[in-house]
Amino acid sequence: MESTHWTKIRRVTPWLLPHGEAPEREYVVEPESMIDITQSMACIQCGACVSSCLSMEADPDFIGPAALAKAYRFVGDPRDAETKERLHDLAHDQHGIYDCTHCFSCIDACPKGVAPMDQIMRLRRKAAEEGVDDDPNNGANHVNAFVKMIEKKGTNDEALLIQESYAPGIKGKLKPSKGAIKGLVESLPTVLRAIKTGKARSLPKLIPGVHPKLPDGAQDEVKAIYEHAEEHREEFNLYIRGEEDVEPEPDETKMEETA
Amino acid sequence: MKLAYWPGCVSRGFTTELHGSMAIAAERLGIELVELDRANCCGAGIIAEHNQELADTLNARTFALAQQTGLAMMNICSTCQGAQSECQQRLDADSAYRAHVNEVLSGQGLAYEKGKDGWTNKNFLWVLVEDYGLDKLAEKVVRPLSGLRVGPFYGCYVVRPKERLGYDEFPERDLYLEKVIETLGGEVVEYDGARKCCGFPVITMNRETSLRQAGTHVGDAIDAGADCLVTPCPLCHLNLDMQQPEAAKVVNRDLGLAVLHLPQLVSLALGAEPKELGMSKHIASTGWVEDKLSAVPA
Repeated sequence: MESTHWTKIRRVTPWLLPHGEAPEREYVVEPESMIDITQSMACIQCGACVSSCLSMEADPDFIGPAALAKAYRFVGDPRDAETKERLHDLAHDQHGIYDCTHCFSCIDACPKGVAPMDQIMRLRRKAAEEGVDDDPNNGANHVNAFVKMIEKKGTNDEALLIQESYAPGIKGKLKPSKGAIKGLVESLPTVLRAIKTGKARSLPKLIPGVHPKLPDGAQDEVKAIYEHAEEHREEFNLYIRGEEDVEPEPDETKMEETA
Repeated sequence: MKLAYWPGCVSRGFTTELHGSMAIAAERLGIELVELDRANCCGAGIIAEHNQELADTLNARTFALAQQTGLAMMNICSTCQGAQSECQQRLDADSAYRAHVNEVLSGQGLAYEKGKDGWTNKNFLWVLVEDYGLDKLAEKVVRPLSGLRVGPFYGCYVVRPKERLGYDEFPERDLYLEKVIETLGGEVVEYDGARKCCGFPVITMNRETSLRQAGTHVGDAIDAGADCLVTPCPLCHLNLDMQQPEAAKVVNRDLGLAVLHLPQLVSLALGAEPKELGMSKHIASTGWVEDKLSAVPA
């Protein structure tokens, strides 16, 4: 019988799915285009991340860190032609990329620096970039709701986050989805208990959007950061870039200029 | 001791009792806090999921605001600590990347400077043990928590990854809660879940996985004889306390264990009363803990 580990690795289709006719010799790719996936390729299949995974402890069906790191190895491969299909599959699975609870256990357990959790987060990022935003787990909704909320308010508007995570734009829709109704209804008893003890007995905690934005022009500063960062979207991967060897000094002069 | 203070979002949202208790704890400890009221959300790892540079720049802004005060920064949330440490690690690794991020901040009269005058960002637990000192804390105790059996619950973000969170320099950071509980006169309860995940990050995505984690840890602590849990993370508090009745349904057993915020536990030993610490706002009753407290000597 195949072990659970290999069943899960097989689950993510761990081989290339190129389109078109195979070339006569090998596929030719730019070396730079492969750097992105070298971290996930460093995996030696030791399974240490799987043993340490705290999500899998609660949900044995979770695809898990090793297999999802392997999935990124193919999602990030420029030769693969089914990137979006792979991401759709992993986002829509209830035990897929949105079942990772962000506990960092796999990062500490991995002897090769693969940082499987980081690969899972890159799968989520890539899914959003590829327009896979309709998963039934509300994964993409939650991220989008959070990102938009901070741009608007600067800090967490909990009532708005709950509403938008389950039912984005519910006010503009005549018919919220089944999943949205289920999610909102399931969170009702918790909200009612919080009203009872006084935890959530104020308007900003109950009505989405009442929460104040940052004071005295600070919100505009946050907005300016959004414009800059959304334009560049730089991803600084320490595994690939490493830390600088020499400590440069000139940073201090910059501080004096702006002080 | 004077510190720039980032309370985070949740301590001013669904766990306001944490924000209030921190003010009480700081006063009783003699720590002056300068609240960064213009600072923004740390992104909780979620903004980095969407756009890493955005998370790095937002946190660089908070760091720059703190550095402007000339003070070291303190937070009261494991998640803020972890999310901010992650961004700080990237910002500190490369001067060109830092300069790129500082480009937008310079328009706001701000700049994040690596290691400026030994600048640090530490959560209350780390400040308490490393900077304030357990000896000094012991001197402030007026109501030892004798007979109170406390289970520590850290929150992933201050435990892992070790390499990022300063464990090379401070290898006992994942033992600090135990040290604080003992210093306050309480009894440490060992149980399986102390350094595990509360499940909160997936509560809207996989409710079952999320609540099973919370319910299991609370149940294990009860089985080990705990009177309460204590946590430095308000997001853990949301799953362990606010969602506790729902978690009980998922693990199919009775729970009902008080979960205290770290500043509440500290303040109780320093003589504050449960009511002023907002303990009545908790979902899981804190009555059992309150019954075990001795009176504060006049």
